[in-house]
Amino acid sequence: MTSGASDGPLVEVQGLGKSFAARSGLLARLLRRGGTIRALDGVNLSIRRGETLGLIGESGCGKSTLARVLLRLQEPSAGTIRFDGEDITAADRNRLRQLRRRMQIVFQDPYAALNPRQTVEQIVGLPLRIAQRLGREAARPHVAAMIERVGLKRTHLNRFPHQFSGGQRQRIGIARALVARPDFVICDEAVSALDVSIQAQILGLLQELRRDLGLTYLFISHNLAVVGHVSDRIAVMYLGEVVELAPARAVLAAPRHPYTQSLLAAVPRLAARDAAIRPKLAGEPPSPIAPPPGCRFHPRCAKAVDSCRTTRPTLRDISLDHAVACHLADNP
Amino acid sequence: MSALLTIRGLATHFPTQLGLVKAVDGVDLDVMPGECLGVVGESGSGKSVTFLSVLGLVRAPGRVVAGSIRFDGQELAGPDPRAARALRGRAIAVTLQDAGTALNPSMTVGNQILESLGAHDPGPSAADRRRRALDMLRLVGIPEPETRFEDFPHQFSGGMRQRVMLAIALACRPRLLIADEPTSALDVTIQAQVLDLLAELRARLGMTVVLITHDLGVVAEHCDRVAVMYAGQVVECGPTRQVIDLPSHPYTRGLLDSTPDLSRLDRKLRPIEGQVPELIALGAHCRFRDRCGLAEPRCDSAVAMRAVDEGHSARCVRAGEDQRSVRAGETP
Repeated sequence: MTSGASDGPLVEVQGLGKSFAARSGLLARLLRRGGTIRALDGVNLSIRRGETLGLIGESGCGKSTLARVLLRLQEPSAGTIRFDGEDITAADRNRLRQLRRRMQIVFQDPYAALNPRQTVEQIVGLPLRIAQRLGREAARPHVAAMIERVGLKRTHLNRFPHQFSGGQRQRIGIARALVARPDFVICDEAVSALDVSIQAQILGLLQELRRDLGLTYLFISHNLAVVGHVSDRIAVMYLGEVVELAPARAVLAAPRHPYTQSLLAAVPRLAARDAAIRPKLAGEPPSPIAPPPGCRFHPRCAKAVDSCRTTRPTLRDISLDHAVACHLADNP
Repeated sequence: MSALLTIRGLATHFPTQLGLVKAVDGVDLDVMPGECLGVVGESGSGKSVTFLSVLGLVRAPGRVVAGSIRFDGQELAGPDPRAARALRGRAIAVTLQDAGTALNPSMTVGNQILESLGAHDPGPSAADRRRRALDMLRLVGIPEPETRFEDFPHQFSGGMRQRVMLAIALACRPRLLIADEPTSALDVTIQAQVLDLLAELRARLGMTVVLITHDLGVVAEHCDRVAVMYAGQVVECGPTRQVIDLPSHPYTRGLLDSTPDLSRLDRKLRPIEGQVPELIALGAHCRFRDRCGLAEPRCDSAVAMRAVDEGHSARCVRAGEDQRSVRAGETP
């Protein structure tokens, strides 16, 4: 299904930055300061063909901004984005239109992401009409096949979004993302608004589709357990940068960055465990307008030493396929 | 030991254009003094409406149509609302999920605590009330309480707002705190801070807590007992560890099997097929029948709670009969 440079990663970003001006407007007045919000600040990441890369982090860490910049829905302020070997950082409108057939996104809120005045057929058919310039009649068999593929029925095609449950609406969103047969799909909190019994249905569907259609996923979620269940590798973000990147098992069983360790410890589990041994993370993430110098996590880090306060650690390999941005990662 | 709160046969219905929604339909629950009872269920299970009924906060045209709610021996669901009102806020307090909208945006948090103190327990003097309000901010771990006293809700982070709401709820030293999804809108590290604070306050103030949540992991780590709700009824109730390790209702089993959990990553997620039934057209049969892999003719008539073990009961015809059959009923 993929073409071009076939061996390299499908998506590769280097030094990716995205800043928002906070000098004027409501936000600046509320925060009583001007300045720049560095939503992304030097993100390095590669996504391999056919994998599910999980992306976790807390509110404001930049994970959704990363999704939007990767798809060029927002313009990066720094760095490069390569897709299937091609530098798309500065791709023009025409090129982007072609590329977006191959790069799609499933959003969190199935209530807000679907046009309430369009039928399912119109919603799901839109990518075909835009990317492949198909007419309504020509698009119909593709749309009908995809609707059945995501577990809905042909009879649903003429209905409107409000006639569906949350789980069914998310299926519609998935059908729309996949109908033009993309290679790369970003799932941005795609199951976060769903109840767990329905969430498990949608997660199962996403995994099945990835296998059957040869898709590559960037799976963004604040829920570590969900990411743990679906990912091949996991990237952890904190305050605009990736601080740990490794196979899912390694991140979950032997995390090396102190932030990843605290994050995992904070997740409630079903199995009995001793609450007293959980390391507690005090405080809240600092503002991305005035990030601390050195390592951005040092003010909350129990292990911080002098170099953490002055020198910003870079993401580096500490063992095979395990990268960490921490000065102390070599001595666990 | 007699229960602090006893709910029997509670029914709360909402007339709608489509028909009568039986949001709560025959709930029996006991809350023991000093315990933390988890009430868990998915959207529409009736977990919030049950306790809005206890608090007398059901919004018209919805109303409590049947049942008894006794707090420390006093009937709250009786014909005279004044008796109940005297207890609410003072002996029974509540915190809501979304502190951002539950707090008054145009009033300083200090004044909101003072308002709560004044309405329920006017102390001897204004200075005394102010001192107690500051004590509350200190109690819930808000740094620099004297300064923050004059701040407005928008000047606080999500976690701090949840603490402010706790301070307001606890200002009158309630005996029972109903915490409705207190941490669902918070990041996981902040959630851990707030839940730990809640546990500490419960121990220090000898308070009874009802924790309403959709997250079984939160229940596993913070609740002594758990009540599982489905389609307006309690379907299983018992000691937390017993319910999680040996669930006796197929819905509880399904909920556990569909919950992504870091302590059970090796297990495949198993969704519950189908959807929650419409609360308008409920038959007399077991409400989980149509999604249950173990349904049999006995499930076609009404099912009562049956004892499984001491203090552990389930609303299933098989409960207590043959435990292996419930677990063997895992659908492949």
